[in-house]
Formats: sequence, C-alpha cells, structure tokens
Amino acid sequence: MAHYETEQEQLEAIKKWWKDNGSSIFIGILVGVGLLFGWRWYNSHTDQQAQLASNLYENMQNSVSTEDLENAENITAKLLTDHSDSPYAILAALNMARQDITKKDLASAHVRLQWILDQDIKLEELKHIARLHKAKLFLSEQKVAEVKKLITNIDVGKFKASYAELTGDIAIIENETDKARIAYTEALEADSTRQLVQMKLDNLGNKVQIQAQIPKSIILPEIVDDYGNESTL
Amino acid sequence: MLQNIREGIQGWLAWVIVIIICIPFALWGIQEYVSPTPKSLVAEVNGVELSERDFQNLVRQRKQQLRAMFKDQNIDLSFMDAQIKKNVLEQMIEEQVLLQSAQNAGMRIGDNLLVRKIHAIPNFQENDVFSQDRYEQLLSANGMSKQKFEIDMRNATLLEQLRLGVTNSAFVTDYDKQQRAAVEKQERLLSYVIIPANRFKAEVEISDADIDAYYKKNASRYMTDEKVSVEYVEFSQKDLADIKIKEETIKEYYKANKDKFKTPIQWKARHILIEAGSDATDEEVKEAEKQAQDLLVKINAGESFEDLAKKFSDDFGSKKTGGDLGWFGSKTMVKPFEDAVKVLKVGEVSSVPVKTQFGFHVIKLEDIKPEVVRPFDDVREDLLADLKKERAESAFHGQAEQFANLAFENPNSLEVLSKTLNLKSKTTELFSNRGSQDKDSIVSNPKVVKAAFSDAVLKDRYNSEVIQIGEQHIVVLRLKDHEPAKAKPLDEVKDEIVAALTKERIEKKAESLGKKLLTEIKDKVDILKDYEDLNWSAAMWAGRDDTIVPKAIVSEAFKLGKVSKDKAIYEGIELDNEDYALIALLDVKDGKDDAEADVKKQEEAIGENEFKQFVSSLKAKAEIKDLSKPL
Repeated sequence: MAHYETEQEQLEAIKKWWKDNGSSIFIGILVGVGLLFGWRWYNSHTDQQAQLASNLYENMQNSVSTEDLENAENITAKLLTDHSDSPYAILAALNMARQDITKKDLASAHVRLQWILDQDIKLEELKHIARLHKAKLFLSEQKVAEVKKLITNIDVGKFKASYAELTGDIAIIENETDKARIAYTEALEADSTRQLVQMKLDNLGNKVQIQAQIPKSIILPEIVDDYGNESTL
Repeated sequence: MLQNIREGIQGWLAWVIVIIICIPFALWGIQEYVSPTPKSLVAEVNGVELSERDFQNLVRQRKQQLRAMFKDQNIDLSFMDAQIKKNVLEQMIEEQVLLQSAQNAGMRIGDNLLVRKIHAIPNFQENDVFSQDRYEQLLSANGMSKQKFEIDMRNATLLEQLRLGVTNSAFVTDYDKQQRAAVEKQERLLSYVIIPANRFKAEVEISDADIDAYYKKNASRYMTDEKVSVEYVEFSQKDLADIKIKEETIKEYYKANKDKFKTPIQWKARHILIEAGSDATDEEVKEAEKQAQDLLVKINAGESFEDLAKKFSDDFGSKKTGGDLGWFGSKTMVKPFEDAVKVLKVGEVSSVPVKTQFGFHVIKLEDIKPEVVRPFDDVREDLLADLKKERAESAFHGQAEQFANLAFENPNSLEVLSKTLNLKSKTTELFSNRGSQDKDSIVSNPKVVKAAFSDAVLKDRYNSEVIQIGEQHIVVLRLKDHEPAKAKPLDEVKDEIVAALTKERIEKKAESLGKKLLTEIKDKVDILKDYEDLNWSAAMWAGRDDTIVPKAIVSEAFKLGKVSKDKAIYEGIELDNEDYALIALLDVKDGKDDAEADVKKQEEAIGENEFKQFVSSLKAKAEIKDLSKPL
C-alpha cells in the first residue's frame, strides 16, 4: 500500500479510485443482488407452481372418490397442460387411466399411459409403473408383439419382479413353457412373496415328468355331460 | 502496514466495508450457529441427518401400538426389541428417501392443503368442527410443538399423496381375473396310494453290530445328564430366635400410636344460612342478623326447622334437604361454626345466630358420635404382632448382612458361616440343570439351579453368591458332588436305538419301493398288481384347499403341470410320518371366472407390490449411511 502524507492526499486518492472503479463495483453489486433475488424469486415461483399442482391433484383425487369423473377429467386436463413437468400430472394421468380401464375404455387408457412414457420426468420410477400398466393392457388384448416391443431393452432395475412376471405371462400365451418357467422363477427370486406367480410356476409342472397310462385299477369318477349321459373319463 | 490499515480504516469507507462484510454473515449460515451440536444420529440419507431422538420416539410409539394390540396376551416385547428397532429404522430411511425424491421432483404441500388436512383430523374436532383450543391442548399434552407437528404432518401428507397416487392406479383387467381364477380355482383329478412304512417292519432285522455302530455314531444322544449335589445354608426370618417383647413396650407402643386406634368425634347437624358475606354493608349485616333472629324466634315457637331451612336458607347445597349437613368431623366446618356446634346438646338449636365469614347461621345439632378409643386389651395382639414383625425384620437384615459377609470371606467352606450363625448346613440329592419339580425342594428354584451350575461353584468350587429365594429368605450354596455327563450303558438304551434304527430302515424301504414302482410304471401300467395291500384310491377332483386328500399330496399334485389326454403324471413324495405316497395326476380343470373374487383386494396387493419396487428403486439410488449402533 502506498504511503500518503496527509489526510487530504489520502482522500484525493480514494476519490480518484472511486471515479475509476466505482461504476463497475456498483454494477457488480447490482448484478449480485439481482441474482440473489432472482434465485429467490425462482425458488418461490417453483414452490408456488408445485403447490398449485398439488392442490389441483388433491381436488382431482377427491372428484374421483366422489365419482365426479367429469370434474376429475377437467382438472387432469389443466394439470397436463399447465404443469406437464410435474409428478402430479403423471400421477393424475396414471389414476385417470385406471378409471378408463374400469369403464373399459382401453384406448383412452393407452393414450394417457403413452403420454406419461413420452414425458421427460425426474421420477423415472413413475414411468416404469406406467409402462407396466400399458403392458398389462396389451396383454389383456392379447397384443403380444406390442407388449414385447414395449418391455424389451428396458433397464428393469428394481422392477424386476413385475417385468419378469409379464415375460412369463407372454411366454404362456406363446406356449413357451421353458421360457415361462425361467421368467417366473426370476420373478420369485426378486420377490418371493408373490403367491400368484408361484401358482403360475407350479402350474407348469416339472421339466422332467413321469408320464404313463392310467391303470385300470383306478376308479374314475363318473362324468355327467350336458345331456345327462353318464360316462367315465 | 497494519498501522496504515488501521489508520486508513476510519470514516465512512470503513463503515461501508464493515457493512458489506456483514451481509453474508447475516444471510447465510445462521442455522449453523443456532442449532445444537453435536447430535447423535442413526442414519444419513443423501446428507440429511436422521436423529437418534426421533428414532427413539418412534420406537416407543411402535411398542405402545404393539402393546395395545397384544394387550390381552401379556406378550413380552423385549425379545422383539431388535426387530422393532430394525423396522423403525428401515421405515425412517424409506420415508426420508421418498420425501426427498418427491420434493426434488417438484411435489409440495401448500399451507392451505395442510390446514385442510389438520382440520379434518377427528381428534382435533369438537362437534365435528375443528377447534383451535383442542388442537393446541392435544399437542401440548403430547409434548409436541406446533411447528414440529406441522412439519411432520406436511411430510406425512406428501408421502401419502405419492403412495396413494401409485397404489390407487393399480388395476386388474378381465384377462388378469380369468388367468388368476384359472390357477387359483383349478381342480385336479388325482388318485394316490400310500405305502405304509410299517408294512416292512417284519422284514427289518437289526443286528447287535448295527446297534453298536449306531450307539457309537450317536454317542452324544445317549448321555446321562450332568448332575450336581450341593451343600447349602439357608437363612430366613423363621430362624431368628423368638422375639420376646415386654408388656411395657407394648403399652408404650400403644400410647405412642394412640391416634391409630381412635375414631374421632363426629356431629350431624342442620343449619339455615342468612347470607352476609365480607362484601356486605353494615346495614345488610344488621338486616341479616335480624332475619336470623326472627327465624330463631319462629323455631323456638315450634315451627319446623326443616321447612324454614327450605324456605329461607341461602346455602344452596343444603337448602333442599332442609339444611341437613350430614355427618362431619372436626376441622371440616369453619371455626366459629364448629365452636358453636361443640357446645350444643343433641336436639338443641343455637341460642343466638352464629356469625361466620358467610353470614349468620342458625344451627341445630341432630346427633353425635363421640370419640371412641379402642382399649389396649382389644389391640394388644395386633400390636404385639406388629412389634415382632418390625423387630424381626431389622434383626433379619442385620444378620443377613453378616451372613453374606461370612459366606464371601470364607469362600471355601460353609462351616464358619453355619457355626457363627448357628445355622444347620444341609445337602441336596443329585440334580440336573432342569432342577426339581418338587416345590418343597430348594432346587425347584431356578436361581438356585443356575447358581449350582455356575462356573464359580462348579469349576472354581467357591461358595455361591447369596441368593434371595423368597421374602426374608436367603441361601448360599457350594458344590458337594459332581457327576459329569457320561454315556448311558448300551443295555439301557438298546430299545431306544432299535426303535430309531427300525424307523430309519422302514422309511427307506417304503421310499425305495415307491421309487421302484415309479420306474416300472412306464412298462407295466398296473404296478400294484403284486401288492395286495396297496391300492390306488378312487380318483377324485381336488381343489387347492381340499380337506379330504392329505395336504402334502394335494399341494404336490398342484405342482405337476398339465396332463395329456388319457395319460397320467406320476410322482412320489415322502410324507410327514415315515410313509411314502405315490400320486397319479389324471386330469386338470382350470377354474372359471371367479365371481366371488375380491377384486379390490387384488388391486390393492398389486398396488402395494408396485409401490414396494418403486421404493426400493429410489432407495438404490440414494446414498444411505447407517450410523446406528448394532441393534
């Protein structure tokens, strides 16, 4: 730091320095404060938008539970246009798709689930749910090729149990017993508590079976057919 | 240079600099200074801390819930402690993961929604309307601040939004229903034959060599129990010399505790109050006194006290009952009142109105129960018993201490102890670590058995610690005899071994016959022809929950897949006893659409399954640090 003789000189120097640098410092401070407030505004704005979406979603759920589906539909439309990047829009679409299925409007359910799959969202787990639901719809329509296309090349992650069960169900439709056996076994490895999957697996039987004629000594039950005629197996 | 700075830094510039420096301090990091440190943590989720305190609170809550659930069964929760803690920790971590994921993705609960949720909680409502008072009252009664509750509630609402959003979206298609019914309600036509193991009993011959080999191989199974007998000295109140108590002592005791035997005096009275409280003016007081006097005159003239009380008394408590105050003892009424009552005879009315802080009373004494003191002879026995017990207890405690010291200071024998205190040392029979069932025996007490088999007694041969086996009843013991576990003589266990070996062999024979038949069945359909005692059961349709066919056979039959026409699938299984069963699956009939199926429940189960995977997927992505001590 330079050395100044008098107070006067010192003051002069400061004034000069201020003249040279003052405006840039001023602008710097302005920008800083501006950023700070901008950031805060942005945060409170996102909070506000999120809360709006949250309230809309609550109202939609209430409408569903009071079976006012028209209102639920309107709210969902608003969520999907105004808050398309919010998880609330995704949840609303998921739940409205479920309502469609109750009404047997599978086409509409497909559209909603596809909309979810086309979104770029942070909670990608919701996409897995939507995909699994869509696959189930295809399966119920026996559209095997579509299901296969939908669930191949997907990183199943922790959703292994559900995807594997679907794979097994597809294999059953295609009469691929071995494939089904493998898939169901995988599903049970991922989640051993699924009783239905266990039953489906058991239903396929063992790979090696002892098959033979039915001995005569076994008494078979009598079968009464629709015309009242009795016969044995 | 510092000098220069110090000088230069005066005046307005200095202030500008100071203020600029202050701003960041004012805005950032305040909570770092305010929040209490250090906290003890159970886990960290993506850097968010989960405190030990919250954890312990939740564990306590969970235990309360469990206790409420099992309250009739008197279940000891301590053995579930580790499990409870593990579950609570898992739940805390899971909720934190979900919360963070939801918030990061843009889920929020606004104030208005929070208010709506809180208002809807029935516990905070009075007559179906939210009550702020009740809300605050309940929170403070539960030791919870409003801020904390509202944060918790906000989080809970957010979690519920997410959870229900996922689980409610689950559905069951018609195809699903049909597929489920097909397997769930499936029926299978089956026949079976049980090969009883016992049919081979006659064939089995067990040689002495077999027995010997088995005996050697399973030596540990055929050992006697390890047994000990102990020498012990017990001491109880009964062992104390009969305590003699002088007659004077009892009398003194009686005098000192006279209050205990006294039933104090009680009065029964009526009154009429003419009110003239402390805020009454002189005039009002005079007026009241005059009224009371008038009443006295009327009473003395023969009018009914009760009727007058009913009409004129200002004491609403007793007015209706004609001024009756019932029985009362000393120091129940205000002093001037009691003093007035004391001088009255039964049936008498106070001669002048009695002034108290309430006003003027006209009092009539109805009855007296005089003070009763139970005479000495009446209570002498009780007193004597009390005194004896008191003395014996203190004598016991004094001696018990000496007992413990002697046992401890002479760890290698009980002799000093028994001689010094003049207590007999006794011995027990040999006993195993199961103790004895005989209630009179000292080894029926598990504490005694445990001490007898403790290292200090059994290995080091010291006196045991003093064991309390009852109220004012202690014992100390030391090893007398030790009989280690040893092999039981072969003769003794021969029958047992023969039985075990027979069981093993006939089981194997049943199984090998079953397996042999299964291999033969392809070439020779009627495999049972040569076995008179073995017959296929009549074929019958069985569902999964069939109760006629043995359970193991039904569940095996459901694992055998489908059959082709006119063929059967055969399988053999071991049953719970030694028998072996052959199963012939003849036909399969898929279930039809199950009209009774609880679709809602199925949807819920699917939703739960999907959410479970949803959670574990998020968990896998989170950075979770388990900081809990080993539970």
